[in-house]
Amino acid sequence: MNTTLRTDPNVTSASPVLAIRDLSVGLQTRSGATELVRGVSLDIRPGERVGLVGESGSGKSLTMLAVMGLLASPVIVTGGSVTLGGTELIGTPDRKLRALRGSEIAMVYQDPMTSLDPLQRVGDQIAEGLRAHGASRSEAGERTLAALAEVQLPHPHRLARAYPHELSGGMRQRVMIAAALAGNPRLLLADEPTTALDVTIQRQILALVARIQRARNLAVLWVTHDLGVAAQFVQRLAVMYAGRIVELGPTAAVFSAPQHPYTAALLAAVPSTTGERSALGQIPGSPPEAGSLPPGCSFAPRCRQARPGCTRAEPALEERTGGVAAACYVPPAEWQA
Amino acid sequence: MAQLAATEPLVVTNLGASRRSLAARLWSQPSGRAGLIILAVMVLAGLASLAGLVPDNPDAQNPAATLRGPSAAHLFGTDQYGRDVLSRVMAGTVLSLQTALLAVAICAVLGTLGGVAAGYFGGVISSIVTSVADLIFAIPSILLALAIVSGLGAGWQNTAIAVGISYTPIFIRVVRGPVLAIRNADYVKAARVLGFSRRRILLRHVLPGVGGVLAVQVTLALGWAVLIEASLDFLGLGPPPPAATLGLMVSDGTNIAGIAWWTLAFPAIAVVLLVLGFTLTGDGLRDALDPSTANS
Amino acid sequence: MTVEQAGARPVAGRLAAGPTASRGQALALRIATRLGKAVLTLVGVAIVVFVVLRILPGNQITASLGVNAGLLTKAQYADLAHFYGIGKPLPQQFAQWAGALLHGNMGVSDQSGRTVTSLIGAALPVTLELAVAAMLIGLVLGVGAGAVAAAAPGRPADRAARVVALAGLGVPSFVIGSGLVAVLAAVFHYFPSSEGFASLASDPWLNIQQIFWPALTLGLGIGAAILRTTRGAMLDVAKQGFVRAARGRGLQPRLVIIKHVLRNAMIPILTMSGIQFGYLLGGTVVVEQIFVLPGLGRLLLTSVTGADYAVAQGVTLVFALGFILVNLLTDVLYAVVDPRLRA
Repeated sequence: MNTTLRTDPNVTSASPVLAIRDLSVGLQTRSGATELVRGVSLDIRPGERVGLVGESGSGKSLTMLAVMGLLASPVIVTGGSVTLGGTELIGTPDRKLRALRGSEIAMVYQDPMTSLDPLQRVGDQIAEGLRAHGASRSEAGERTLAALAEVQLPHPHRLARAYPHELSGGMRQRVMIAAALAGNPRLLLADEPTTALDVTIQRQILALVARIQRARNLAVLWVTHDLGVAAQFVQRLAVMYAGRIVELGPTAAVFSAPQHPYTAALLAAVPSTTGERSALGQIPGSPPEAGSLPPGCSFAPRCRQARPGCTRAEPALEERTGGVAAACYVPPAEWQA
Repeated sequence: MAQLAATEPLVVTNLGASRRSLAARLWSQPSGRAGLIILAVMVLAGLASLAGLVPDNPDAQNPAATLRGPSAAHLFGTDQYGRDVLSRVMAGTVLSLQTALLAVAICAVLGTLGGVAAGYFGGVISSIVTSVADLIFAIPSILLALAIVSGLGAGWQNTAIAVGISYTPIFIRVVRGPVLAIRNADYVKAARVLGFSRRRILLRHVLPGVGGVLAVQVTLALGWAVLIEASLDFLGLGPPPPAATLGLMVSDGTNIAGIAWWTLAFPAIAVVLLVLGFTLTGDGLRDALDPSTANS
Repeated sequence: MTVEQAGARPVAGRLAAGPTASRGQALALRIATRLGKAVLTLVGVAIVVFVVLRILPGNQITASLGVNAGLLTKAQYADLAHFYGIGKPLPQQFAQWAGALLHGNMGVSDQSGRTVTSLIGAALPVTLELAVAAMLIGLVLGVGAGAVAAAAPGRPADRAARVVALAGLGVPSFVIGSGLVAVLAAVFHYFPSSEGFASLASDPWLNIQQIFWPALTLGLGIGAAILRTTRGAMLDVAKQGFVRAARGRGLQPRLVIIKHVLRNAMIPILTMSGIQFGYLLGGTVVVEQIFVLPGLGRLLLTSVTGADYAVAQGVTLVFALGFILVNLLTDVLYAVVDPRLRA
């Protein structure tokens, strides 16, 4: 069985559950490797909810898949380290990683319909994960029912025998969450699990996960492209652009006083329900293609605050004010409107 | 009998858009390239035979030189009547090709008409067409071929008719799918709302969209037709001796293979090359048109 | 109501109705509709076969007497015509034949004088054994090799498998069969068909030998097609999200492949198997000829070329019936494998 946070000597309240250091992921082609994730560093402490925000193609999903070791060739990890409570994950043989998947780290995916095997009952799919980690058949069955009840699905006995196509989208996602939690992991990776659901269901799922997370003191990494979800749910926020983290800090601080022009532009693009009705803010241009990054700061071509020096070298992620780190040469004080 | 995967689903949307690069794409596919090369060789051999550019007259018997092995004078050896095997194989190739072409012409035309009718008009017409298709499909193709050939007589045209009719259901099925998809596409609905005549919609919108599927299916069908035609000849239902059909040659060759392996081997290889050539080209075409279904 | 309370409300779903009862009903309905269609198709086939054999030039008189038919007097011709049922309107002939058929009487063979039923009865077990053996070989080889190929795409095993599959598709069964017979005879001096055909009951070992080679001939072609389908289907399924999710739960790769990838790939494999069975029926004609097996295929060949229409009709109906039954079976199997089809 895995150890809980309270008894694992490696994890104190100060040391992180997950420590990502300089992680790089690339696409292996005949002519070399195109970098898709470039030097991402991030810590997640026990019981913390961290969000990873960015547009499609920014590398957020790949980062999570790299942590789980689920990248599919030709996409591979090209550098960096990922430690789970002290154990290095990068470079470990799949055999050892398997012991951790489901029991220490669990993942929830974006599309609940395609994340469940249509030919198997949902209960069996949860139970098989438990049995892969050594649970007996009856134990797996009981824990499955318990997990289904915990995500507030009615009639767990009957529901466990249902097939995925018999359930609604929201129910399926709850099943996915149950499957992730059944193994009692200490880290939950969530890849936009609410994106495919409508807004009211989204709120229900978020509330559910929040409650469970608090009860178990679970560490969570939540990927989303929806700033509203980030605002509701996560305590710390990392903003990714073109494969790098460009801003990182407590959610409230990042939202109230963003220190990277990209974050500021994203926030400005959110329609306001109060105040004057003006045109929606837009970021001109589009994110760079992975193989052809601009020189220096990858956001410079679209940045309103760009200065000549920005194209010389990519700015490093540095600590600024308010516990927020940003990768930008231009301090907010000098931003032009 | 034929085991070609001719009924795998395929929807192709933009044949016309990159017509020039299609040939290039086909060539870059290993299967497409191999198929085209093989076909080129076989077709050239066949054309040469038609033009009379053969080492010997395929029907010329030479009792003095029976059952000679491959030599400089007879590259593929001679058969039990002293006939040059190479010339006969070339003549047989022509026969197989022309039978296959006629057969596929028949089933492609009938099948496309049926498939377009079923897909575009739907309703009763579709039910009738698909029922007929299912019916023909349920009858073993051999029986159809046997009946037609034994009733109309043995000749390559009748073999072609038999093969063509039995393959029609597959064309109907293969064409119907894309037609259905296109018919329900927004741009076709727009055309109908704008009042375009049915004929115009069919010719300018539906048919081009079906082109890709048709091209692949025609190629695969040619391979299948050669296979069935050779099998029918083998069973003695094709043009009777002394016609130089590959199937007959294999049949005769089997009996004397112990003493004259070349009378079996070369006609057999010719059949295999023809079928493989078409199959590989068809596969390559399918991959070139829709890379998402590529096997590699 | 707060968000948390909203989340706590029971989530409704189709589960309230109780899934198991409706699944059974839907399955029964599905089978019933398929059966109905099958019967209709069978009737259609019977009509088509009847008509095709009748409208072809020449009839049983000319077929059995040949040129001498011209020497018959009018009265003799009329007698024979009456005997064969020629001359009556086609629908009447059909009704006569269909009526007799439903009583189990398929007529009498001209060539042998025996009843069609007895001829078919003797030939059916042979072809059945051949078909089953060929499908088994094809499935085992095809799924096995296809799974191996899909497990490591692009690697040597995969490339080898694909080349072999191509050979199996491109080489006609009559070539494989002839080649086998030639090699067995010339190199191994092995002539399994030299003795009369042995049934499974009378001499199992000889029977297996006599069935094995023709079954292998047909099975190679079937296996080739199924290999391609298996490989393609497994590669497609492996890309699906639930495969990654299963790995994410810590399952070993072998379990993932068997429990998730292979099972989902079964559906296209089932489809291809049904198609291959259709081709198989035609294949028995060629293979039974080459390996001298007294099966339905051989019976069909001799009856049609000898204008023995009663036998030809009977055999065709049996073939069509077999094809339809197999289609029915695949439909039922679809529903067994895929729960979505039972709803």
